[in-house]
Amino acid sequence: MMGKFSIILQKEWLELFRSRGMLFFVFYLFIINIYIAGKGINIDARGVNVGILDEKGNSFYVNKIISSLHEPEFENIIIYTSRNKIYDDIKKKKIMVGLIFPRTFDIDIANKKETKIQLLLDTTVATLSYYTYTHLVNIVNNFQTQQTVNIPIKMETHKLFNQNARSQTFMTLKELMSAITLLSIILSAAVFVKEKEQDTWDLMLLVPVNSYMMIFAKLLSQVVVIMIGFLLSLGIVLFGVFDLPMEGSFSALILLTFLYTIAACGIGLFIASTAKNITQVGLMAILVIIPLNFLSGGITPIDAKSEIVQWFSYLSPLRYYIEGVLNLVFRGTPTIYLWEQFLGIFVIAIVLFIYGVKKIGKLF
Amino acid sequence: MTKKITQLVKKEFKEYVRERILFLSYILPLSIIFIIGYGLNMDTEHIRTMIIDNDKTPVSMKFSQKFYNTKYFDSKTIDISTNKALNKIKTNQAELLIIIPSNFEKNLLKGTPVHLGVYIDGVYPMLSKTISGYVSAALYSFVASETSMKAKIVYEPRNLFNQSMKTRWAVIPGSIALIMILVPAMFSALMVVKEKERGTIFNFYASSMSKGEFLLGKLIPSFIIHYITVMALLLITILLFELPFRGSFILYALSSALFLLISIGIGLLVSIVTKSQIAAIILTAMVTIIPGVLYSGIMTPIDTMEGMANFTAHIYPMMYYVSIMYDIFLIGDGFSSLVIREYLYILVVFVLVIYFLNYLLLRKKL
Repeated sequence: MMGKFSIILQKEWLELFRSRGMLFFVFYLFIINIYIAGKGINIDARGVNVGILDEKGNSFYVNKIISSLHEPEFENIIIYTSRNKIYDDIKKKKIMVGLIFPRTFDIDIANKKETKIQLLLDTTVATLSYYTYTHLVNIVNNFQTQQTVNIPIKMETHKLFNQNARSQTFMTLKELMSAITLLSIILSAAVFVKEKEQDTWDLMLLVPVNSYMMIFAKLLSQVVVIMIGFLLSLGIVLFGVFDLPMEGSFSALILLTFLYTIAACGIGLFIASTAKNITQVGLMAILVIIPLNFLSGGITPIDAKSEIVQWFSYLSPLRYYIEGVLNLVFRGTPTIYLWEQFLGIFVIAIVLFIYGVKKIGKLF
Repeated sequence: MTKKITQLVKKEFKEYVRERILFLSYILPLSIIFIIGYGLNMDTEHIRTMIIDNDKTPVSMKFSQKFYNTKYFDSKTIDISTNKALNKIKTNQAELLIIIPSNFEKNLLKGTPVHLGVYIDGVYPMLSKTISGYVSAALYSFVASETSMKAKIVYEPRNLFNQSMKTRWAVIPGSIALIMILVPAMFSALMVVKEKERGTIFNFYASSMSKGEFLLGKLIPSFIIHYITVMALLLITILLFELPFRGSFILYALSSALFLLISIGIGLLVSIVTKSQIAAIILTAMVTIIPGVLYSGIMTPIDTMEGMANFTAHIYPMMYYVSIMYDIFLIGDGFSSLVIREYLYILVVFVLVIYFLNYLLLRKKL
């Protein structure tokens, strides 16, 4: 019996290894893309270019404010001489914010009179512009309280968990989770539908193997491939290049990933049992992957989303996985507190499997 | 020649209907736009906040009030040890902990500096910075009200393009571009490879049809089907999501047509170079989903990207179309803007290059 099982496994692996293109895709998703994204993409608020228009020119207080706009939040400070030029450059996305200081800025401050700063903000990039706005207002507030009184309260801010290079490691982890999701769903769906497309389905039916065993063996073959990709990516890229912290239990991370891969393969199984042909598999995969990615808390935490979305997200295994991974990797949450995440993924996996196996099993 | 193409177009349409793909091809874009339009909210609100007030004086209570009755903080004043509170952040039950020291009131009245402990969950990079910004804003507002110090510098914020900073306004134009790269490409990616797997490609090899005619026959039906989607998305965006339409319709129609040609072209290219449908699906997912979400400028602005990521963004057609979309809905410069004209030319170049490659790589023999 185990012999038959392992023969199916070997057959699927052989097919995968014969297809050099497929191997490259897996390699690209797990290694190259994660490396590029981690090195290059800032999801952090940094590198914003600011345009300054000082109507008086070389104003003392304006220079003081400029000196407090520093890296990493702000990158280039560009001095303008005309209002229209600022406007134009915001449109061209050369700068994101423009600050316009009136001619009387210095005199007004010296005389303690009210004065106005105009703040032009490109708000097509929602989160970043919002943050930049708050940050700028705080800088000016800080400046003006310093001018009048010594601000008596000092904020001692502690950012917990992984302060340094956080943006990079977060990005790589997020991309790794995306890669697992994408590949699990597509590979596991394809492994069934391709038999239909290649007309080997009938051949498969003739194989003297229990249909459940066939389904499990086929899925397991893909789970193993993805787990190997995950481990390589984790070792080479995330720990190797990006120095990912590992605050919690490593074995819990592996176990959680294993469970999640099975659940995501369950989604693939679901698609395979519903789709009639490969085109439908592709389209249904997009239909599932896009909402999973947008609504599971990979960009902003789930708790910050609207209640309906939160409610829906309970159906998404990716939600539990992201929560669990962030807890384990960054927060160092003791594994015992993660029972919700483990349970969530487990239940979803079971439901998907029962449905998929029943439906595909019927076709045998 | 036109007769041959018409026949092929008819055949493709029939297949679409028969394989129930036509239905999916409209359901898919609609679901994505609804999910993003209704579900995606990137505003930072309802930060779960714990306040430990070690002073318990009128002044300290007045200070904690700054964190109540706002949509930004969901605050709870609790009476537990710092360690226990930190543990709550560790187990993801709260994002923010504020510790008001004892002698808060006394020291403030004396003018001795007070140290306020602020602990923020730093896992989500952007979020932690926003939270720290909110806390210091609350702090300034408290100081201003206590010291009867009137704010002398006033801002006149002018939010360009998206005045009330609605996430939906910021995200929908980009999502149209995302849909238009994902769906048509996935469709056309299977058009040629499907025939290869089924063996019906030999009909083409044996026929008198030229490579150009074959490509046109595949292109025309896809173009018609998905161009309807483009227009439907426009209607949904304006009527249902109430985005402004500040640019020109002609620009929308033209740039979308170009981008659709590119998207279908990418799909056909994938279809021509791959041997199996599964490989075609994965390759399409790889060249559309990842750059579409990551390197398009929707989530993060292109000019904050570095190195290879910045390069990837530029060699991919997505960012040009996304910029045009933002102009059409939110900015409204249209053809008068040099950048927009430049981006249109770039899209034309993409179309030419992609179809040249398609023509080059398509083989009319084994």
